Amino acid sequence: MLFFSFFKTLVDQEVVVELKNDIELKGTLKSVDQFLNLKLDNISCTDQTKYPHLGSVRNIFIRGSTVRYVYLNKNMVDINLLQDAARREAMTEKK
Amino acid sequence: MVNQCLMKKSGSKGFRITTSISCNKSGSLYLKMSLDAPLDLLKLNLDEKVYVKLRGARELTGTLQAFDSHCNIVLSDAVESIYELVDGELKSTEKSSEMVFVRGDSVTLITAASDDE
Repeated sequence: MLFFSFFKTLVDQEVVVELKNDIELKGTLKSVDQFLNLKLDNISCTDQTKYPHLGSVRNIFIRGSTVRYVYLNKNMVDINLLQDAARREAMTEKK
Repeated sequence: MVNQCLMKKSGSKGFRITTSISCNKSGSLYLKMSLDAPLDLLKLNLDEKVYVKLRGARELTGTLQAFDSHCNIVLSDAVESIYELVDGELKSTEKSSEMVFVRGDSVTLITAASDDE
């Protein structure tokens, strides 16, 4: 649940998603669900020459399980809040 | 559920610290910190440099900002190294990022990073 909430705070921000098949997509995060499936708007492929088939795609649904990384900017994240939430999550999962 | 099962199995023979006080930057106090389950050790690495090994000959070092029971993690100031064999030669490429979320299913191990890395 921690990362679901985390991604909800990132909605409407620009992120770069790297998939497990090495495709990298930049776009505006539009929504996220409990499986960390993502919906991105206004996407652009960072390596257009390698994956030309994505050239005309504007918005995309990404199955959470295919994601390897999501690159963020530091200013999008409140580090103290995130660390606190992680500690709290670790506590509550005990019960 | 899984955590509870592990606790029962390891019993009191395992690594165990039941009470301690920790304090974070914003001043909140945490009483009682048990280190029974494997993932509890990660708590000690929050806000510390960690080394993460991933599937597909990849590794990351960075400061651990968050984790959950799936080993989903967030690292800041991360450096990724990817190792590849190109014509029988080992080639490594490095990529840095200021903040990155890593999906837990690619993670194979997480440990404290040594200082010289």
